[in-house]
Amino acid sequence: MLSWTVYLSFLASIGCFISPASRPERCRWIALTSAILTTMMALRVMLFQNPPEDGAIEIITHQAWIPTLGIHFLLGFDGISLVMVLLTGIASIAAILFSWDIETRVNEFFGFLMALIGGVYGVFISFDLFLLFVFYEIAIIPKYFLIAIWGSTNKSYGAMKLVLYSFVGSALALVGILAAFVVSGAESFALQELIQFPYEEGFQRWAFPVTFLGFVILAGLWPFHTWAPTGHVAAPTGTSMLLAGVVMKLGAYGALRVPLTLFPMGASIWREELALLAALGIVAGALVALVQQDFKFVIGYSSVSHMGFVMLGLLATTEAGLSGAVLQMFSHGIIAGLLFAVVGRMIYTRTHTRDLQALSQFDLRRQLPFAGTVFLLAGLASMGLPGFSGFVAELHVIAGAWQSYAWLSLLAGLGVVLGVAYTMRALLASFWPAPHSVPAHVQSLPPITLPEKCGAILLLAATLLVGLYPRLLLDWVIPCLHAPMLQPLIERVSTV
Amino acid sequence: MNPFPWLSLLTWLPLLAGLGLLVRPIRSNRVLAAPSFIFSVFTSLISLMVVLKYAGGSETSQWEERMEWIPSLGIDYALGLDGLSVVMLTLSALIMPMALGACRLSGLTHERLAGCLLMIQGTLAGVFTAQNFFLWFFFYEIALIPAYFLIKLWGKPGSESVSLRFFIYSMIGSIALLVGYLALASALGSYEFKSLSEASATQWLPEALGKNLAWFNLPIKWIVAILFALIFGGLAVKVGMVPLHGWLPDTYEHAPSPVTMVLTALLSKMGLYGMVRMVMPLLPYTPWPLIQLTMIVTVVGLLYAAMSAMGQVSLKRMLAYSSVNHLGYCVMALLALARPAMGEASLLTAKEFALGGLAMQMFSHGLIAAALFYLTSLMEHRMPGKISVDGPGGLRAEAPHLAGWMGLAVFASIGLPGLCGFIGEFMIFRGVFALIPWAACIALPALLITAIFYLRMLQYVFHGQRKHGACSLTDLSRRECLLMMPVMALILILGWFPHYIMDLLNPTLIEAIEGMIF
Amino acid sequence: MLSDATHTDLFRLIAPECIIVVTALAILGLSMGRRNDHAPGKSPLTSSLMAIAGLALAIWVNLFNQSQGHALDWTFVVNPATQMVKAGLMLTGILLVWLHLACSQEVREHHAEFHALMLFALTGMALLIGSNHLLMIFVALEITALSLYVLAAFDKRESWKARNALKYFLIGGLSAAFVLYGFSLIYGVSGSMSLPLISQSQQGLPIDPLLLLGVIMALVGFGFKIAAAPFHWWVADVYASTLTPVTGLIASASKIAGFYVIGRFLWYGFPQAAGKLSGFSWSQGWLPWIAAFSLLSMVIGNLAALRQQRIRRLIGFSAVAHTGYALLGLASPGPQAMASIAFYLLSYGVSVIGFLALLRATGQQDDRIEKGPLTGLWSRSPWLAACLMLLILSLAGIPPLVGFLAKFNLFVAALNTPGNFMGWIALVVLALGTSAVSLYYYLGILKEAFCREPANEIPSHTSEATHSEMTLILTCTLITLILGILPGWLLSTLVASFQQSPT
Repeated sequence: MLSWTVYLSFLASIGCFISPASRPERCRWIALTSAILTTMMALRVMLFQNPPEDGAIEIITHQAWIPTLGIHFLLGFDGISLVMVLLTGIASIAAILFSWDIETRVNEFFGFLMALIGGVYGVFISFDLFLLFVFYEIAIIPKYFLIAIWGSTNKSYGAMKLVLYSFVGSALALVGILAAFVVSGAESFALQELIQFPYEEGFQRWAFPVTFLGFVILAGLWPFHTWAPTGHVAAPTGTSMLLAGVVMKLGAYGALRVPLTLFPMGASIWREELALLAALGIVAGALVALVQQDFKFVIGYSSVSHMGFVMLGLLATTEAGLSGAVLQMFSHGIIAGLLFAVVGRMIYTRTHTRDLQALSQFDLRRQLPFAGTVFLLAGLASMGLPGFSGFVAELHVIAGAWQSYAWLSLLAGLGVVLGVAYTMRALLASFWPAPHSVPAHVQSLPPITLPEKCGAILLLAATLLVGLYPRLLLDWVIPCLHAPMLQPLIERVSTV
Repeated sequence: MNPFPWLSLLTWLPLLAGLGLLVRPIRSNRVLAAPSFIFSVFTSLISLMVVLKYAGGSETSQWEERMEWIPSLGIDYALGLDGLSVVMLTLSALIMPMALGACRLSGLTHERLAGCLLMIQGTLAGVFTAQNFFLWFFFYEIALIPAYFLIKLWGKPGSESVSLRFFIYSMIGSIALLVGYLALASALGSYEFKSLSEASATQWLPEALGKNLAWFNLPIKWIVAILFALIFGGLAVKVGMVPLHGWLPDTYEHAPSPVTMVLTALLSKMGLYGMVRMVMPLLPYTPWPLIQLTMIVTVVGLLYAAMSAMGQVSLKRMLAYSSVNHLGYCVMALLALARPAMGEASLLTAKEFALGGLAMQMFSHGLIAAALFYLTSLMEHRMPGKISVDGPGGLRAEAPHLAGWMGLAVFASIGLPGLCGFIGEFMIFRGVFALIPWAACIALPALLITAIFYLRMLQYVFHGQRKHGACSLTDLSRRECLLMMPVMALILILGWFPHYIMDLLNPTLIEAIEGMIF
Repeated sequence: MLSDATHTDLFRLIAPECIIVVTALAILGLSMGRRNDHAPGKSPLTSSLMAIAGLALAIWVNLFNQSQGHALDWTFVVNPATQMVKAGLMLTGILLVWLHLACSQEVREHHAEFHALMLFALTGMALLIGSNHLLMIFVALEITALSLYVLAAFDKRESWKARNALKYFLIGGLSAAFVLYGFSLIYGVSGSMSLPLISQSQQGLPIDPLLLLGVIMALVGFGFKIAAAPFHWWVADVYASTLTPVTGLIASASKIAGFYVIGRFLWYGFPQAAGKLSGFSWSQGWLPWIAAFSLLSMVIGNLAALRQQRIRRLIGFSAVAHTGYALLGLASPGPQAMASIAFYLLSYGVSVIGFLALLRATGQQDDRIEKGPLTGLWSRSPWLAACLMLLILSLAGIPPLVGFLAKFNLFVAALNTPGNFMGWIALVVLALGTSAVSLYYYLGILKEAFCREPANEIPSHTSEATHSEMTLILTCTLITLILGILPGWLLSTLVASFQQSPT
């Protein structure tokens, strides 16, 4: 059933492309319907099916595809995949709602958007590594066009940089996958088969960092993260929401599924160095966000910082760390979406500026009270206030990280503090400027539209629900960590 | 298990009501009986009922409410009562309605403001009854948001930077606390406070740390020292200990006085409560030099605060520094507990005194500070901008009741025997003298200095010639008197019959002392 | 010594080639009989249709009606592998004739000669595929080359084009010389000209340096033909100056034949002389040299393409790069590897032909990238733009298009060599890295097409493609897409056919 998330999205994409340009609203509704249906599929599984006790993978489709290479069309899901699919669903609904008012080349926009979403769904439910890679690459090209055609600041440069970095990362990952396939002499690219082979240490020593780096370049590991702020700022709002919210998680998810699962020995060798990079990313991203003048750049760099938490959790390879990483993937996906939505859609389209100084001239709090409240709540969530999903996620990550490396947890704590600082700075500058800097007469701004309100409420509800009752997600994620796929990784660490 | 979740009611009712008022403020034309005030009084009555029932000898476990929340980390939604919680609940029940009433009486009738205060009432109940760190921290952090807005939106002009500073200091403290306690909890394998105290009592704590937190092969003492520094430091920010008190005087001065009442009487107690729950079990294992160092900083700090208070011009700032001073006594008492008793009876008694004094002082300082700021708010409302430490003088003639009650509060703060302030301070000093004499010696002059600046203030403000100004001070109205009656009465009664409170506390305290293996 | 095959058997073996030659002669003959065929503006329809018919018949005979076997001391072989590859070759030929038919405004006269020459070139290529003997290889090579030289100079209207054609001719001649010299050395050492006999004679002997020298020289000569670096200098110029169908011919068919012959030459003729990739053992075998050519092609091709501002030249340099990728498939002798090269080149050929057709459809002679015929294609013709995207992405190697799958296939084949694993991994990594570079310039083309507004002031840019152009482009695109998603049958067939062909 879940495989329809992929098919439906691609069908919607084709539908949008061929629909006539004279009826743009048709595309919007096609896209929205597809997104809602796919989210409901994910919700249905999550709410009405019991998570399997042993965290086993449920295979949905299995077809031989290219026998000479041993490639199968293998779709399935386990708890972690399900959480990510749900995230994609929610984020895509919100992204479509926030792109409702696009005027130019509407059907192409939604066509590319749905293609991107389809590719992302595909990555999350593939269990054949070749297929995973195919979907990973499919997701790259729509990004280019979405940014280069509908973007804003530096769109050409931002788009090319983003795409090239993504491609290089995926190339590195492909090297790892190919190497594993060839060395193991496996019959197919299916993940479960490739795990069976005991790769020797020398091989894992180079295969792990190559593959891991390949995937986490897309996740924004410092210092390979520079594409992210440029690209996200250049992208139009709906795309930024998806890029920062979901596509960066592709990298982290890939890192969990491929190198951490296949090469646990390599993981334990390289853990500290890579975790240091992750922790540095948390702090560096936050520090740079602190000095930005463009609002969107603040959020772009904060995304780098938050993704550092994900990678820190992944590399902690304890149960708390891994579940924290998955939670943080979900949580940050929602929160980043919210933040980009407020800045890009609610503010920028009305005031046509993102400069923090300039925004204080607009008296935004009185003009756009809904936006103010939403941004306040989003900011609090981003800071990691209890009650929102970010807190639970960061708690898990830090708890998991303490068991593995102490100083890095302290760095992570520092990152949280800096997060408070830059969020407050941006929030105060835009919505609560010092009274003397607001001119007496400000031009009035158009009010927040209904699709924007719906999108914002959806995202806020998601983060609150998970923050107050994280069991919704954790009940699915934790059994996966006991499954035979990830068990060697966790065990290896606890004996080291 | 109690069939009806009273504690959850105490926590969530004001929280949600406050939130509701924030979204939809309901105006009221009555002086006192606004919806927020009514909610607050209602909650307080329920709290008092719970306290009385508890005092009536019901089983502690009867009050416990537990529900599975995040099984992967072993965190439950767990609220419960013990002696200290009950005393703190009483304090909050007494003071919150007073604060809300003071708001309305001094003209701050914004319902949103009241909504924020209601939210704080709820989080207070949550903090004082939470049984594990996660839930405790949850409410602790949430309290920051209404506090921040209270200072920023309704404070004196120029409050933006002050409120921001408050927020940032508090957040940094919270995060240090979080990071430190997470390490501790992951070593112990549980977030429950009970398991922390048990681990400390059975001496399993150092072993657990050594096994699970293998950081670069540090000796266990160092690990404990790091954790102590993080947790204690994080909480010290909230308590307002020197040198982490930078946010305090400005915040207290800029916030509206009823809000300051809540800040000093209740929010700082959150920090102290946290110290008792979290730092106390660590004390036996913390390296002695670190304890000594911290003690020196504490004691010098409280002396410094007292001396700074003497140099203030603004009344509220003086009271702020005085708060820092008084809370310093509490921290001093806590740290003194680290002195190994080795089973010597006299030292054990001294520890009981110290801990009892700490708890008593938490309660009485709450009452006294509340009274002081209450009266200050009334004075400011009547003569805005004219009240300072040096002036206006001669108010006693115009408002004898006001002057009288203020005098009572001041004397209680100084520690006059017969009022509750004396009890707490006496017990603390008695205990600390026996445990760490030099600390008590250094802290002693602060008592004297406190007396000096308070009496000086009384002299200049209420007695003597009228300095300037034409407007006069009307005396207390009946409503205003009534509002502060419970607090004042307790100040008086507890001075003579402290056992009302001590009886509630004693079982818990004795258990705690015995739990400290030395 | 003649084998005991009779002349009929012989004819049956080269039946497809014969059919093509006969068709070519028929076209020539028909045109001579019609007086005003030489008048400019005459439609080439008759000639084209005849050519297509001939090719189709040849394919049919090739696949279904032909016997297998060899002739004249293994001079010429026909086995399932050659059948498949020839069929692919001729299919490409059909597409090219169609291309010429669709873009007939380019060439205004001498259609019959054009078709005949193309058919002759295809014959040569087909013979090349079936050759198993050094002299046979050379003869077929020359047939192809001479036809191509003339075709390259077909457009006489501008002098620079004639200059480039001359360049092609001279370099081609030089390469032929290299090939011949290499062959003579090989003959001298091994005493035979037939590939299986050569390999037999060298069995068990250590590698003769002279033999290796001969092989390398022959490789140099072949390298010119397939546009491998560092023998690629003619490519950009020739691609820019030739007529579109000829560009397509050089880009697709000629490469297919060239690679096939190289593969057979190396692996059937000198398998023991392969050598190892590690340790820079340049004198121990020819494999390190192949790896070096591959590396140079990938790097030089992609880096040079970055700086191009004309589309044809860009295609030329990217062709060099694609040769580099394809050379990776020569890492091992197995049927997988050879099949992967064949699959790669066939799919590449189809994509390039589609792209060239699209270029022709959008702009006559102008082939600038910026403000060129492709600018703003999205608004001028959305369908063409979509096809452009799919074709370019296939060339760049993005899934789910066939270009990606073909590259992936090559990588797997390259890594499956026993031993030398790290060396080939390094080359694969380089291939992927240079693919990233190629993505940059391919996306540059797409950026022009999709992200820019159309430039209104250039009247020669057409917005509408004729029906035949459109059909051709769509066919190529669809093949690209479908092969990308469902390549199984083609790959399995190719692998099976190579497996069944030991010689």
